[in-house]
Amino acid sequence: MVPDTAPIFPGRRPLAAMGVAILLVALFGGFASARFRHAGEWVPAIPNTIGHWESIDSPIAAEILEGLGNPPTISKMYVNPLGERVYASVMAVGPFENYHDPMVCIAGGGNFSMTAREIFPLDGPGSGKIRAMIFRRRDGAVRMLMYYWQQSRDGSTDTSARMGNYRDMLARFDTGLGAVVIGRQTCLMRIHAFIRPDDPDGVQAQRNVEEISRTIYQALRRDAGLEPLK
Amino acid sequence: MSTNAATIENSPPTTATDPRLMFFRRHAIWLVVLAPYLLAWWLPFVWSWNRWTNPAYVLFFQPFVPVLAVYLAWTKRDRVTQVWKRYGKRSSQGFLMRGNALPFALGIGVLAFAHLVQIKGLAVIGLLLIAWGVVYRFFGARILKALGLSMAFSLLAVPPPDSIAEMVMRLCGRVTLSAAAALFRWLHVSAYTSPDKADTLIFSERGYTVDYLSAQAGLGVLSLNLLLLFCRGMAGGFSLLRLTELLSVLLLSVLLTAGLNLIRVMVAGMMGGNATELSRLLAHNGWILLLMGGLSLALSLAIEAGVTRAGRQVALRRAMKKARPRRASVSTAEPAPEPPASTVVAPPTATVADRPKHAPRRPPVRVNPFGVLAAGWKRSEMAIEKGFRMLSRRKRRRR
Repeated sequence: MVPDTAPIFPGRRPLAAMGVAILLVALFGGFASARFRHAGEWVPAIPNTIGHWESIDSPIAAEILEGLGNPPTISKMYVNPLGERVYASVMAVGPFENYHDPMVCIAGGGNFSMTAREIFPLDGPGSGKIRAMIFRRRDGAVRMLMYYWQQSRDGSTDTSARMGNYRDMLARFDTGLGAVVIGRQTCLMRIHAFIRPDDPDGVQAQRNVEEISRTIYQALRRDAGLEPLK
Repeated sequence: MSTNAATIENSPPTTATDPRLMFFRRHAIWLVVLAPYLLAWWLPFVWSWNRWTNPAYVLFFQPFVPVLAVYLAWTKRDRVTQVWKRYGKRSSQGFLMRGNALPFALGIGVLAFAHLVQIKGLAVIGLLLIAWGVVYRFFGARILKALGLSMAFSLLAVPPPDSIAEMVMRLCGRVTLSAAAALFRWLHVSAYTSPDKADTLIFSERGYTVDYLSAQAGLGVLSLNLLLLFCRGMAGGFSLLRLTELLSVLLLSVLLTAGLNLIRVMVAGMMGGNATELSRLLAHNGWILLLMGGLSLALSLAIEAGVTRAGRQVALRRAMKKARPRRASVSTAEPAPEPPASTVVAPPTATVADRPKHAPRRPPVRVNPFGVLAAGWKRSEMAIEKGFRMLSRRKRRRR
């Protein structure tokens, strides 16, 4: 029986259609990369003075920034007349290599472990949610309180991690859709203070971090052209 | 006129008749798909560039996978042609056997999604699906099945989650450091690993440390070695004998590379106090390891070649032994009936004198340094295989 074989060289039309489809998806990749870069171009200014807090520039180490893909960053240390310190950093985030989560980066180093974690609205009902975490050094000598959130230019906030490739896929898809399709611009906020030994419950540290965080949150909204929350 | 004709006859073949050029002309239509396909690899390549160019990284082998997968497909070209000639793309075949564009469309979707979430593993899966989808769409399921080995091999290009790769690297670095510390202690040199995670080798007297980042540096080279040997093994086909050969050579490569890396870490540690620059060079420059990897690969391949050659010789000897007529059967057996006259072929009348003076000589047998070991190894493998066969025969008889 002679096999009913089609010619080994396929028809031009289906082959051209496949070539066009691959070309389109490759171009979409380039477009998506450009949009991710655009998403990381919003670096909102944060106030130099907040009440009786004065700020000093406190740049992040170059090696750390290199590991994050060198995103544009503003980092400050706020000091009050009592000598208490609160550290705040704004990092414009585009591609996912910029999204390092404190739960992984601080706790993953092996020196600190996360002892508490809570998500709540920062500035009352209707305001954006943030994630508060307490990290404790293994020897128990140092404790750190950190407020962390992702602030979008449209006013929304998000607290979920985006570092894991497969574990955080849904959160990554949300960011990808926002950055590529909607054109959303985002920055990462990290505001932290070390809890002093004379503050066993961390009440004073929380008060300080919260004061700085709320003011910066309102400043970010103003920078984005949004009305301040009442 | 005549001079013109002579010129045409003596001139080299024109471009129109050059078979190589004809081949490319006939297949040029595939460029319509191939060019955008290579373009689509660009972004996953950029995402993985830092890791793929680091010889200490466990996935250092991945950029070589597509090339080796194409090589594997090329080795199966006779089988593919055979399947195509036998079955072709029959219109009577079902929807699934005939081939359709669904896997291709799925690949496009996965790749687009991967661009949104920027996951390189997903992007590579999408690209592989696209390649397989094109083959399936135009040639059907039977050709895809004939290329199954190459397809399975290409899956090695998919990067696993970073956490797994880093865990493997950390583990290998710590194992190397622990082994180095144990060896140093055996040599009465005071060296120990850091107590909590064993990620640093500390020389208390010399005041020098080797961290796990430099200790794991042989891993990328080792993985590339294993990949090349694995590809070689797959290209040779599968049998119990072949599989044992492959596993033994892979094991040998692992031992060689791990041993060389251990020696490197120990030398770097020993020289820490005396020749700091050289020690740093050894400890932190992973490219030096490529030489070690190349050496271990060459040794592995030489041994593999020795084993294969010895195996062939043993098999040939056995075949010749079987083919030799037995004396008893010659003496007792009836003489074979003579064929009819019409089919009788005249015996060769050539004599010794007619033989060409310069008869082709047998190629000189090269002395294989691993010959004895390899032949012994091969004989034991064949004995194992024989044992397996006997067992399976007995099982069949019982049934």
